[in-house]
Amino acid sequence: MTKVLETDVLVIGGGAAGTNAALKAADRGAQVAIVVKGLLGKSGCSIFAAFTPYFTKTDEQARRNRWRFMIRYYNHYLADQEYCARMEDYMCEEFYPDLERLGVYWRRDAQGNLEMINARNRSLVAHKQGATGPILLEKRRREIQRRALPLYEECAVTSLLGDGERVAGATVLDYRTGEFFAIRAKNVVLATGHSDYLATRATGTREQSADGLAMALRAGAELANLEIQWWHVSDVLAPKSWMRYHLYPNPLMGTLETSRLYNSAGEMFYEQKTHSPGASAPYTEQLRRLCLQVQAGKARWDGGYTSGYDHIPGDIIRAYQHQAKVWGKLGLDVARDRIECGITMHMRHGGLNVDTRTMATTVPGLYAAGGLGCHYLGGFGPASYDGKVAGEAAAEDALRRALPRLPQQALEAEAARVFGFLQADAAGPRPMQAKLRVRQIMWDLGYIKNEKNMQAALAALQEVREQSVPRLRLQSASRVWNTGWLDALDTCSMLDACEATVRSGLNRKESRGPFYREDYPYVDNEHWLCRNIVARVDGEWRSRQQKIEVPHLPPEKNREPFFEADY
Amino acid sequence: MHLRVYRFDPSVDREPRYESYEVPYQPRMRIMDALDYVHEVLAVDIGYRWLCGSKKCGSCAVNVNGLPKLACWEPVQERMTIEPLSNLPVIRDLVTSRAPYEAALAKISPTLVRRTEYAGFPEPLKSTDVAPTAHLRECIQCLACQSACPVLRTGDTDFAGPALLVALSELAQDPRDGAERAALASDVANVFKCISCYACEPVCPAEIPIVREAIEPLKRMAYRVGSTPGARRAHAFLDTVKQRGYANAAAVAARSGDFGLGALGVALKMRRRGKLKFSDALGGRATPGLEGLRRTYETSEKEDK
Amino acid sequence: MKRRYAYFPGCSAKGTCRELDTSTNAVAALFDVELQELENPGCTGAREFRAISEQLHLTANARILALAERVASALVVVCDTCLLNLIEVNQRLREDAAARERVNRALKEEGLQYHGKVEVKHFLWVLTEDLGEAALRARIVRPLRGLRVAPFYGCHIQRPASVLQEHSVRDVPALDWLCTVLGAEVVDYPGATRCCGFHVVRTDEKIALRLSGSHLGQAKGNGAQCVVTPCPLCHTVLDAYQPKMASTHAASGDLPILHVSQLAGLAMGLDADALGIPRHVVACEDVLTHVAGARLASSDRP
Repeated sequence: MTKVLETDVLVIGGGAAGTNAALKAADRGAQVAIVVKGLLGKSGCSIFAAFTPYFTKTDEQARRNRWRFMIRYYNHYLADQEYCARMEDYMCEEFYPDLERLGVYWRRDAQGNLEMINARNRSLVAHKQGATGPILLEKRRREIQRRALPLYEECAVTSLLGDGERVAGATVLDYRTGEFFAIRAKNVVLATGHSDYLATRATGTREQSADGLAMALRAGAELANLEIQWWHVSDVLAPKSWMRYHLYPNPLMGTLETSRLYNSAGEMFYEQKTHSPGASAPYTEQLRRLCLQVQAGKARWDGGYTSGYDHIPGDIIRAYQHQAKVWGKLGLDVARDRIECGITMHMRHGGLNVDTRTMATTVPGLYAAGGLGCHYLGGFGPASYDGKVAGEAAAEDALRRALPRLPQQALEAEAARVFGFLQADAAGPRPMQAKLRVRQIMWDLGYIKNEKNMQAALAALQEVREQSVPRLRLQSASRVWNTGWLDALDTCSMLDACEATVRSGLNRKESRGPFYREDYPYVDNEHWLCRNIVARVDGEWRSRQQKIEVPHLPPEKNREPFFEADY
Repeated sequence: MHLRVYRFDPSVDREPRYESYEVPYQPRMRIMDALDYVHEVLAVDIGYRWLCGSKKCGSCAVNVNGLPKLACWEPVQERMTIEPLSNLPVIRDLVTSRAPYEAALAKISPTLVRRTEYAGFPEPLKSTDVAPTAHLRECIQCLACQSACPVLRTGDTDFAGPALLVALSELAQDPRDGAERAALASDVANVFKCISCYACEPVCPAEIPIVREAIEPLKRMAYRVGSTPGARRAHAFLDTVKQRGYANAAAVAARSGDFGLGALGVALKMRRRGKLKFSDALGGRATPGLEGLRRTYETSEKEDK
Repeated sequence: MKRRYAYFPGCSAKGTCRELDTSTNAVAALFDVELQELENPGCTGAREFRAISEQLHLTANARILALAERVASALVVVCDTCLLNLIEVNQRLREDAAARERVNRALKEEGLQYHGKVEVKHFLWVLTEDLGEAALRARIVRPLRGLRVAPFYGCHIQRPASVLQEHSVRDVPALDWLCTVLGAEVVDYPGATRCCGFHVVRTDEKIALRLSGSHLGQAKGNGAQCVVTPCPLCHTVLDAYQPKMASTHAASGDLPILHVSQLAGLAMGLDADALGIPRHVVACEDVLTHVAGARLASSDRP
């Protein structure tokens, strides 16, 4: 018999959204359990947050800049604008006090004034190893431990369990021990992030195999705008393990200057203040400009171009010691040398289709918070807000509800699926090979898309699903930290998520933000200002559109060529 | 490159073994890239942790040729014997359990205990107020220092170890914190059991001056409240120097109340060789002109309080 | 050429390890090196002052440095822990004007002032750097040929790197180099750069015994006939506590521990009694017998 634990609210994920969901649900009096596939506060995308946006309502010009950035550049008009207004209130009133109360120190000067990155969109930093995310999450981690909220780390959630009407819990594999158990919950908050390791180069980390998307899909939830997939352009090419080191194209502390991009001929082809002054995270514009260089034969997606800060005085850039240390560790001088870069798959705009007032998904009992949703690109602040909304809504609902029945049959079927992979065979094939193949398929599909290459990717994914997955064999059948076993489970998640993403891309017949279809090379606000939804019901793929309202900031043009659009 | 990797699966193996792998060198390669190659290309199911790959999460530290290193940060070497961190139980292969560290952390109340109620954002705080903890705040809990600590390596101590002391010291030196950190440092973390060997510092990827900026401030706090042998000894040492102008082993021992029989054998042997005079414990020569020295010391001590 | 240094022997060399002071002066005399001992210098505080008051730690060391400034441009010490304290404070006060001012306020009453004008060095470095190979070799009359010596550095002559700088990262560390020049064979063992545990030997004895016991066991296991150390604190643990390790830990209890100046002095023909060698707890007869049989060969002269 599989062990079954019980809780009011089950939170899956330990980043900005998951931690806040847990804390806020607990504040409302609900019993909370947290399951994290990595280590809470040490895994996932949130620790990569470089700084946090500083929202004020008193400065009207700053506020207009902020809105323009949020809606136009950051979300390509796909954001829920009413959500943006509520999130803005949260950022103004709650976000900073909540974290500062726990002891976070945001940088100040010797007089006690907040030091900020004073670009058009201001932001604050609270550094640990050059990033703000790690310190924010460390404080939340310790608060969660202080309150003794049950926390299951290095535990992979393998499926959501439903009783036919609503989600009733989840199955968990503690991969440190190999113990498989279930958590029965009144409500489940999924917060598994928006940055998955689905392509050969990705900012998503090892444990991020899109389990959240895949489990939600299998539970019947709607997924929207998965194809709006960002890529970093200025990330370190070598060593490979440093593909997550980001050479910031947005202003660093102490300067309004930014890194520049240079093609193989040494010509500068991108700098934020020149090419996208309104954007704080100008990745989509960088991508388009790199695309032109690639097409001109002056760069490759994986190298042949460089980034650097050598136009900035050395003392300024060295003051931002984290960047200088990366250079130094490679034997380079940050004030003189440039580093070869490659693109890395980064944040996904899309995700679960949610009602942003509660973060409820289309499946009862299932909430989604943070970048996993489809309503906003993400970021530490917004994800925290989502966590709060989801945590509070899930807790309030849970307090009025009895524990749902746990479907025993589904539980045993999932146990059979998970343990089915635990077969050793000296000959293989190994799950890692299938995993690498999926990443290669998505890397090959890359940035420039069309009907043909997306169909080809779909077929290639199908081949992995049908030919490789049933034959996967492990090196050992040990249940203890068996990376092969995890790789097999990851591969299944990745296949579901990637297939949904490619299908979603096939449906969108325009280009927008980071999504470029050369067969539809224009932005089409008339037809595609929508949540582009896919779902799988009884094995059948469904799709539909849900219009996005733009009450506060509508786009200026209905239709314009992709490479001319300023967002 | 030649890798010798520690393999141990406690659920199957009776004892650890080493497996060797040949890994092609790539420019700028990190230790992590070599492990990834074994896992991905050679498809070997070695257990190892990596989460961020960019020196933020601190999950990937391993011992390489006997020294703890953050795998994602340090370059490869031609021949590497890669083993799990020391002083922590092994889960499998290179993966160690962080549970003992977490349990010890819980004992030092690792959250801010505010002296006064939180005043709202931004609270009054200057960069100078938090300057003493600037380096401590860079700690990513990779536990390399715990692995390098020879006191922990003896396996028979209630010393908390450098990583815990960094965490405690960050809070203890936080002007907002009002918890009894001195008592925690003295009696829970046993800060005076640090042997001042600095073995923790060269292995710290965050380059924290652990002894000077984390441990010694705690020792000073623990000294003020302290009844531990370490605090008593420091007190006796200073007293002796003030009385005589120099330290003397017998006198410091006597003043510390350090008459343990265990040390008697050693003392007798030293006495036989003329290294120790028991009469020094109480009497002994005082340096002429001591008055000035004593005044100078006392002026400085006062300035610190 | 006469070399003149200010000299701070520290409490060990004036107390438990008086033979260190004697032998250091004896070796210095061979080279026309004048060590002028400071008067009423006080103490660097070992690890104690810094655990009591940072200001006391700074002032006590600055006081020694200020006294040394009156005598010479370099201050020589023979103890690792004194060395680290003095170098660290010197470095700190040179960089930090406010700290310098505070310290000088305290020193003023005694008519002293710290300017940051002296360099602090260990006597080992005087031998290896200031005198150098040719001068050393010229004095060797009993090369330590065939003597297997395990160097034991002690922590505070190599760590932390931020203070000890190049001394922490040499390709051939000073003590290995010196042993080789003296004609000895260097025994390689992991304990050479590790901690003896002195600073807790009276408060947590078992830790010190385990650490040092293990180092000595390794040294002996790798064939060492004796250990040489530049630090009297390490010497005290390794020598005086060694019999105790023999009963409970890895060490055998019969491994002689020599000071750097004693090892150098032996090679340079000084008498064991003059070097204070009989003062050690662990008997050194075997080493002395080995050395006594040594004769200079033509290959020993440059």
